Amino acid sequence: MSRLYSKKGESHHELAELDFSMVLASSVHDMKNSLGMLLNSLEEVITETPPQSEGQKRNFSVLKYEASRINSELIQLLTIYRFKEDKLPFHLDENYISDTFEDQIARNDGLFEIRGIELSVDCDPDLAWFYDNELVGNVIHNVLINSSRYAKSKVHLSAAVKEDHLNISIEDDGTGFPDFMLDVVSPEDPSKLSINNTQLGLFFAGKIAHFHHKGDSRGYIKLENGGKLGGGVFKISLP
Amino acid sequence: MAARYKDLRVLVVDDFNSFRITLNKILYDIGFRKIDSVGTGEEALVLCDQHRFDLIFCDYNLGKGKNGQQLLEELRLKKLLKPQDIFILLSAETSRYVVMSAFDCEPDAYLTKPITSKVIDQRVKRLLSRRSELLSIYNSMVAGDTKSTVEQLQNIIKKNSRYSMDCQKLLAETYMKENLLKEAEQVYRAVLEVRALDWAQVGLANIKIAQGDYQTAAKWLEEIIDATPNCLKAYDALVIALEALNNEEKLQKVKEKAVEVSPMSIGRQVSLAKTAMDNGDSEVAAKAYRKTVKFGINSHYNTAENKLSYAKAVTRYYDDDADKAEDMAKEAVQLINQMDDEFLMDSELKVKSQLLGSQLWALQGEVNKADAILEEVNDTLSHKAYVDIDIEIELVNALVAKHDTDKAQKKIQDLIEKYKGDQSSLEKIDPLLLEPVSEKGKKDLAAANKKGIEAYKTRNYDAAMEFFDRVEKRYPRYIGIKLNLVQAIIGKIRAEGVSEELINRCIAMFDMVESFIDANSTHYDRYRQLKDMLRQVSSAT
Repeated sequence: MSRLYSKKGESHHELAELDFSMVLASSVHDMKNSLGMLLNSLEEVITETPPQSEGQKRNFSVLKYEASRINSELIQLLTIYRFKEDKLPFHLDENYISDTFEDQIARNDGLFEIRGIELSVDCDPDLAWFYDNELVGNVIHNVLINSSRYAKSKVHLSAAVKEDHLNISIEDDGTGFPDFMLDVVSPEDPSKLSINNTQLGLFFAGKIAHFHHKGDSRGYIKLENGGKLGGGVFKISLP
Repeated sequence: MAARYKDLRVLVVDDFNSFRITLNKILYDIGFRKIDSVGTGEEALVLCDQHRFDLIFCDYNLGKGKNGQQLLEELRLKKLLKPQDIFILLSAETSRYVVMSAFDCEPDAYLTKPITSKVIDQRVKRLLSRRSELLSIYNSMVAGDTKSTVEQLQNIIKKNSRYSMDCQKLLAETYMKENLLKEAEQVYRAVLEVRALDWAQVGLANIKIAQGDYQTAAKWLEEIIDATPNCLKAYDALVIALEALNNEEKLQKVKEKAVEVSPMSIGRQVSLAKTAMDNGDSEVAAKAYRKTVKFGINSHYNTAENKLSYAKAVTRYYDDDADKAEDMAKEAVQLINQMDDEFLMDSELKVKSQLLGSQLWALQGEVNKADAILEEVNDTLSHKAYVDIDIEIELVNALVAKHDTDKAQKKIQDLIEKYKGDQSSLEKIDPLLLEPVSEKGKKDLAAANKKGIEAYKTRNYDAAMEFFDRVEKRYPRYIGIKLNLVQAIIGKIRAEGVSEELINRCIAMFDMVESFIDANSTHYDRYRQLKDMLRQVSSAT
């Protein structure tokens, strides 16, 4: 490790000998654990002392949303680090999409309620598909947190199989994605999805979709505006 | 459903009191009434010995004692879990090794904290409905009724239910247990037609192993590992195939990769350490035993044997690289000192621990301490009619460690005489000698020399070095092989140019050779020649 750095002719200061991305990963890890504790306590506080006023309700909602957002950002950072290090535990298995939806909605229990957003699901309970439940679950989790912020009053989850791909959509009735974001997500060339020109979350989702493959066919993500609710539509398609 | 929850016994294991209270409350709200909770894996084991629990919620990290994975492994080892009992592993950590451990020990579910009550509610509902669907199959399995097990599994698979895939896996495993390989193969192939799932691929390779076609199995398993490097079952199967093929070098590499994927698996660390020790790779052996001792402290791997194996590996590592082994040597001495209080050791283990302790002191320059222990050992042994060969060998090593070369040499000669005709004992003596005396040792040496010399003649110096190196590691005192290795290195330097590392290696080997030979030895002339050659190539730049 240290040798690599001195070869690059970088600073000979001791700090430079550390593998910075590793240090970052381990500290992100700590932060994530602390945040987990914080979220748990917050959950308890809300249960034990329900909000008394609209103002308090709004404050709780902001607390919960921001904490969840940081948490999912940190999970993404760690996942990307492991992608880079080729150490990502990938576990392909048969899963029921309705279970995955249920898990992710339960994980964000209270977040939608407290923001007054109605969540609806359209998915055949017997629909099963092959994917990594942990990774795809994290993608859905992340999109849900995002849409809880941008939706006006409705979020809709759906899943169906079309042309040998499982298509999952998460739609909201917000103002939709800005044009520049619609452009960068191109299913034909996932390598264009770089961390420089798009949000970390999309980069993460695109990578995870791409990780799923069957034969020559690979997964991809897509952003659209419109859909059933007239707002933003996030789609992930898995072979 | 909720009505039945009150009859089910639930156990919560978490070292944080606040989390235990939270989880208890969640479970109570869902409808459970018989809830026990404990803070350590040790307490959980005691409770599980007294009652059966339908559901166990266990945190991965339980503070100082056993972790969640170790608890699960031990519950299975002691047969305290029935197939229908549900074990749920929780974790606030998502570090790779925790996630890999979780996959490795296959709990019924793995949940990441923070968890909400809804997550628990839903997951429990799903796990319990799966359990009630499969319960009569589990009962048939426990009763050993294969016919009924197979019939029921086939019925569910035909129904194309939610659990079809689970049942296909169980069916194939049941066939494998009964050695019905054709039937198992059919199931695996049916799964693979739908999707290339790693467990079915490994299943097919296991069939090849059961048929004795280790070569094909190894080839397939290597392909699986290439495509899915985290598939631990593939490593475990590959280890079986390579053991059958006697491919010790590859075996060690595969075991090293497996512990890299799942470092917390103590069983794999022990297994790697043993192979590395056989291969004479003292560094890998010492490090793997160290992890065994460290991570295994609260598990059934915490044995006097494993601690002594660590100490033994450290003494060998010290011979190879004293600087790097120094900290381990200090640690090993401490471990040995504590062993008297920790374990009930019979006199054989006691003597072994003393002999290793003596070596470790001697290696660190504390000759007086080493002498005192050795005297004690000799006193004990003088009352014994029979002394085990392993102990005899450690006696020799103890003499060598404190540079009592003449006594060591005499002892070795006595041993060769005493064990004449006893090949397995002679094989154990071989590593102490300048030339092998056992049939296997002679054969190993001749084979390596033949292959190495062939490679050398075709100027394939890297291959030649590899052949010589392997034997040199295993039998560190064979002069002939050392000189061959030096010659191969010189060949490489001549062909490719000087490398400081290679020259230092040769110098280290010469130092070793010099301590064993004099002008009258058979290898003396060749040694002088090679030394001159090395001088020429090193000054060539």
